[in-house]
Amino acid sequence: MLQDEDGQTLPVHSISAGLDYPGVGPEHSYLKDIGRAEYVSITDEEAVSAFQECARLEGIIPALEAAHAIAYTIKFAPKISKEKIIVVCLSGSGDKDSFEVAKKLGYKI
Amino acid sequence: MNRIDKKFQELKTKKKPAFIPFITAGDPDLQTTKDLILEFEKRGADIIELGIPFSDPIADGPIIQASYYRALMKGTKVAHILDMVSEVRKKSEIPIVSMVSYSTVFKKGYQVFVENAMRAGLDGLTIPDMPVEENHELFELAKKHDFKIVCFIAPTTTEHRVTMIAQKAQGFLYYISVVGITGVRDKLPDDVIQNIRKLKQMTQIPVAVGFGVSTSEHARMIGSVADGVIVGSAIMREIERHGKEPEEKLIGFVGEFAGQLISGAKG
Repeated sequence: MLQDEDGQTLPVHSISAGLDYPGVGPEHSYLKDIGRAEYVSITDEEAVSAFQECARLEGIIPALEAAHAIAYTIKFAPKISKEKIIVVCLSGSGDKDSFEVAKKLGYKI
Repeated sequence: MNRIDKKFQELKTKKKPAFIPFITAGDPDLQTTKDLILEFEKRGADIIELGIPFSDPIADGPIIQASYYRALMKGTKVAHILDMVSEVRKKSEIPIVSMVSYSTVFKKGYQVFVENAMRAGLDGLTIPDMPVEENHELFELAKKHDFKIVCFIAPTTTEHRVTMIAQKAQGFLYYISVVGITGVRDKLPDDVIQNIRKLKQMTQIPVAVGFGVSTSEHARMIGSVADGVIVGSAIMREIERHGKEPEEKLIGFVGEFAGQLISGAKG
């Protein structure tokens, strides 16, 4: 949990409702501790940009949560050989997020 | 002897129930909290339940949640609350038990939290989000220092668990009169008196009753069977109502309200 010195939960922010949460579950914490998984961060802007790219290039509207994964893939892919295969888990559909994305980009819908 | 034990012994000879007002530390500010504790004592309150505000309370209804929020927004920290308790101790020996979330105790560590609490002059803790099966270490520590960890029993607690909790209980048992969260209610459940009587037969330790106790009539009804009457939300609602008024006015109104509840409880 993100906490202050009294154990009070600290306020957090993410454009993605599913990531707007102050804690990490025990399974992810364990995977990080044993070095099995590595965790990275993506800004709201990078996620929205990936949301648009994915819709434009693939015809798939990703959920904002999954757009974070796509944003990191866009950053990471040029660093490795073209022969390598990358699997991205696109965990949900972004129809639910279209209003949030429009707001972020300054459109009224 | 712990102040809570001493108080219940005293009341037993007087054949009167304890009146236990709950207030949130730091709402509207800690100076007022301190003065309210002294005012409640002057009006005949026996024990104070002092709420340490928490960002994510599990047992509290809207009135107490809002008071926690106001206190936290003012920057109320545990260290400031303990300083305030030390100030109260310069003037009063009224027993004070703090309601605190486990997260706050865990963050400091049992040992340090209990030591700090005792040094400030607290007499015990209630930790609503700590299951009784998980608190062995804390219980032993409290026992060693004659500090009290007050446990809850709800109408839904099974007989097996009531027996287990009653054996471990320290100070007094906190019986939750309703199924649900804290809050002002018009009416207490029909079976509350019967449930309190039954619980009292199962234990030697004093039984205090809270959650939903809102009027002097409720206080009278509970006080006729229980060893203690706890009122929280109804008092916090008065504090909220007068929170923006000058301190003496707030103390006057809230003290008056507590006075009515005390007359009810003591019959």
